[in-house]
Order: sequence, then C-alpha cells, then structure tokens
Amino acid sequence: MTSHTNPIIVNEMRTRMRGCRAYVLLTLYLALISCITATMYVTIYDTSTGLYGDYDITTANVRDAPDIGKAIFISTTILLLFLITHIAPAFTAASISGEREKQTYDILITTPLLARRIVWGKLGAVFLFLFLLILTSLPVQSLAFLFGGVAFTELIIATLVLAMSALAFGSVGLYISSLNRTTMVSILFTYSVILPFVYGLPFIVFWLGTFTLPVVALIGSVYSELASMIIGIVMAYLAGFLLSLNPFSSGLLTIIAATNGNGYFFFTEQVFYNISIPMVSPWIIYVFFCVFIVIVMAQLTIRQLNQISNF
Amino acid sequence: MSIIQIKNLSKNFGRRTAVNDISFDIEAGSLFGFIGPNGAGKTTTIRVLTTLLKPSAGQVLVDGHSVVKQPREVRKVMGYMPDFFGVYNDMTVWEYLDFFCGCYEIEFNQRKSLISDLLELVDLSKRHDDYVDSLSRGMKQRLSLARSLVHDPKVLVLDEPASGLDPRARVEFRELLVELRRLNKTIFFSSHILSDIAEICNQVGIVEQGNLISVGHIDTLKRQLRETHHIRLRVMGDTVERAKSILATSQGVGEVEADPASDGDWDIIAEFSGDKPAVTTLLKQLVLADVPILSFAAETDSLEDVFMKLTEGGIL
Repeated sequence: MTSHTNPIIVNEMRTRMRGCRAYVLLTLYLALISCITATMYVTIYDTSTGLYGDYDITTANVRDAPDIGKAIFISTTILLLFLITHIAPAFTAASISGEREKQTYDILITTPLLARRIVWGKLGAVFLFLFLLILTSLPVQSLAFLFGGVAFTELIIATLVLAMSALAFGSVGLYISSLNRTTMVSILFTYSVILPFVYGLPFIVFWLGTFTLPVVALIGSVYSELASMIIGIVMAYLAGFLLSLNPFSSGLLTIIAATNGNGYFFFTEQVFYNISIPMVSPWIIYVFFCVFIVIVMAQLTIRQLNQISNF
Repeated sequence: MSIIQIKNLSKNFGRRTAVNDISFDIEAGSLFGFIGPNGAGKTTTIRVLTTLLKPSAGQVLVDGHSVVKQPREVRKVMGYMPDFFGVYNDMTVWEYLDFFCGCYEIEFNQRKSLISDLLELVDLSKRHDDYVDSLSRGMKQRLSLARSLVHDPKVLVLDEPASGLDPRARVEFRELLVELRRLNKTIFFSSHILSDIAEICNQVGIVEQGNLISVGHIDTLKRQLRETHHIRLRVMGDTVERAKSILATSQGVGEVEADPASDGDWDIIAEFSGDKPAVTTLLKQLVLADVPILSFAAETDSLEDVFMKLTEGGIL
C-alpha cells in the first residue's frame, strides 16, 4: 500500500469485509445459486428424457448434456444479472448520503482528497464487492463446461456484461446519493429510476413493436414499397438499439443470436420483405452504453462534490 | 502577519442574514476565540472558512488562499474539527487515523509513527485498537482533534470543541489547545462557554445576530468598556452607613449595595470606574474616616461581564 492507494476503497473494503456479515451474505448467495443450478439440472434432465418415457439413461445423459450445460449457464447468469442490477444501486445510493447521515461528509470533503478519487473509490469499492460475488459464482457457472454446450467466449462475454452492469447501475446510485441528504430518499429515488428502465423499457419496445408491422404495411399500400422498406429497417434498428440498452433484453437477444448460429459480435436479422440487415451483437451496444453511463454519472457526481454548497 | 483574513463577509440564506458584513484578521500563532450566543453566525462563518459554504459576499483568505477559488490549497493548510463527531462503523482508532492519513496523502511508511505520536499527544495511546464507537465523548473529541492534525496544518478551526464535555474533559481539552499553540499553530476556536475562551485565548471576536460586535485582545476589549470594576469590601458592625456615604460621595463610584454578612459584619459592593491610583485614593478615604475595614478588593470585569455588556444591544 502506498500514499497513492485510494483511501476510500481501503476504508470501504475494510469495514465491509469485517465480521461475519460479508461471509454470511456470500454463503447465502452461493447457496441460492447452487439451489437454482440444481433445480435447472433436474428440470432439464426430466423434461428432455421424460421421467415416464422409455429411454436409456446413459445415452439420454450424453444427448442432453449440452442443453443442461446451457441451461445452467443461462440461469446462473440471469440470476447474477438480477442481483447485480438490484444490489449495486442500493450499495452506492447509500455511499455519499450515508456519509452525510454519519456526519462524516464534512470532515471528508475538507480534506484535500480529490472529488474524483472519492467517486472512483466509492464506485470501486462496490464494484470489487460485486466482482467478488461474480468470482465466487464462477465455479458454479463453470459446471456448465462439464456438460458442454457453452463456449468459453460466452463466459467472458457474460462476465464482462455483469461487471459493466455493476459499474453502470452503481454509478447511477452514486450520483443520486450525491444529491440527497438521506439514504432512504437516495434509495427510493434510485429505484424509481432503475426499475422502470430495467422492467419498463423492454415492455414499451415490444408494445410499440406490435404496431410496427401494420404501420409499415399501411405505408407500403399508401405510399411506396421503398418508403415502407426504409421505415421498416429504421424501426428494426431502433428497436434493436433500445433493446440492447437493457441488460435482460440485451442478454436474451445475444443468446438468441448465438443460438441461431450467428457470431458473438455481428449477426443478420431478417426484417420486412425478406430483407436481412446486419446488426451489431446487443451485448456490445450494452457494454458501450454502460461505459457511457459510468463516465457521465461519474462526471456529474464529481461536479456535485466539487461544488461549494450554498446552503 | 495575518494568516486568516475575513473581508466584508456576508452570508444570506434566502431573506435571512446569517452573517452580516464582518471583517477581521487573525495573526499567525494566535489562539482566537469566537464567542456568540446560539444562532449568532459562528458556525456559518466557520463553514465559509473551511470551504464548506459559499459566501454571499466578501472574501476569506487562509494563508493567502481564497476559500472559494482555491479550496484545495486552503484544505491543505487547515485542520477542521466540527461540533459533531462523525463515526465510521466498525473502525478502530488506528484505522480511523490511517484513513485520514490516506486522505491527506501521507506516505504509508510514515503513518505508523505519526499515528503513535498523535495518539500520545491526545492521550489515547492505550485505545489504539479500540473501536471508535466504543470511546467516550471526550475521547472522541480528542481523537477528532488528532484527526485534524494528521497533516500538521498551520491553522486549526474548531467549532464548539468543548460542548458536551464533562468539566475534567474540558480542562484537559483546553490544556491540549494551549499545547498546540505552543507548537505554533493558529487556532480558531468557537464557543459559547466563556470561561473556555477567557482562560486560553489571546484574541477574541464577539458576534451577535450575524454582526461582529467587537474583535481584538481580551485586555483591549475590557479597556474599551472604560475599565468598569466592582469594589468589594467588608466592614465591621454599625459603620456600614458611614462607609456607604463616603463611597456615595467619592468620584467614580456608582451604585452601592450593602448586605449583612456573618458576625454582624457587612459586605458592600460598589460599582467603580477608575484607574489603579483612584482605587488607592478611595481606600485611603475610607481609612481616614475610621471605617473598620476587614477586607477590600477591586475586581475587574470577567469576560462574561464584558460579553454581557457588549451584547446588551446598545453597543454596536
């Protein structure tokens, strides 16, 4: 450790990992992941072989192994994504308003510690803890490799998406925390931003999507086929882009694209009039979107901390 | 040389004026007491001084740096101890100081000895590994003072440091401040406990309702109030009326009050404004008039008296 080590990270990790709380949380979390993995294994095995069917258990196991592996991998990744998108904002939403509540904000802010070090320290500490959750779940996720059906690239993509989600959702909570005096208000405000984004956005896009086909057909009949084709393509790109911004729909579309034999980075999608359009894999758009969110939120938080209060 | 310069500082919160156009300088190495009743504007002034609050008007310089334009430079030379003690949960005394050493970018290999020295200074060496939230209020105040000293600041700003401390802890804390002044620190120290300030400060500023009523050395302040004293004497038996009439006709004597004391003696208290020769002349007059005096004392005003007179409203 040197004088350049961020003291905020040291402090947060020191207090967060002290005592049995962190270990109890980790144990419960791993127990949950293990239970879900076991449930997925039993469910897929039963469904694919048929409990009451006439089958050879040895060959059935070999035949269904990739499905089981994929199911375990997808279910653990979705569970992790769910936990991270819901835990990260709660952790960071308490970080600066919590300092105000503990009456440590004034003494912290009157040190020459740069606002950017405070912000990255707070965000880094939450990220490290969540990354610990991701790392400890890797052995369970890796069970998928025993069954096959999951490529190593997919594990890397999943880990990257999870890590970026932790940072992006954490940075939103951190900014909101810098605006509020109490943690309760920060948490409520953060979830009122996060939850509509996580659950509302895909709904809205799918709902609007139901109108797209009739509208495109109508334009084709009233104006020209070319106009409806252009609008159809624009709508497809827009829907793809919006769905890529959401962690769950982005993940789902990536899985669908990969399952359909497309690559991990680009794929083609057939839209109207049997036209196939090239698209960037949703996870890439999502990762860039997360980077954008982290940078913007961090800058806004730094500006907020640098301001000398008027009140 | 002035290390703190406050020029025409004003701070408004909406329509309410918390600090109204105050100006004063504090010399390097001073122990400056900032006195005023609750709501007078002490904490607001301190929050501006410590870069926590933007002034509505005026300029505040600390060691030549503007608190608005160069807050980081100000923070490097200033240690701040607020009137509350912020607690980080699950943190030991050593970790608490180590964290702030990190905030002040003190090299890791210097921290161990620095923390030991600071804990020794504030007499908390034995509590090195105790959790901060297990300390008493007095210990927390001392730890907070140690925290504000980790970067060896030139200026220490302490907001009501003695509030909530028991008498013994207050005395110990005052001794610590005197020791720090000896180490050539400039200490800006607010309080509404006048005895704290009277005993240790060499300069005082008095504020009321956002206005700076008076500022300067304690002795100068007393002189500004025309050296008003009280003469307290005890006389024997029935000579009280004679003593009262002599006092009443003497120059510089104001109101005279007499109260019976033990064994038939009388205590007389007379308001008196005059210098030392005038006091001796008054005593001589009483002796020449054969007043049997058992005791005689000229009492100067305490800081509390000065404060009360200044904040009566008439002296602005």
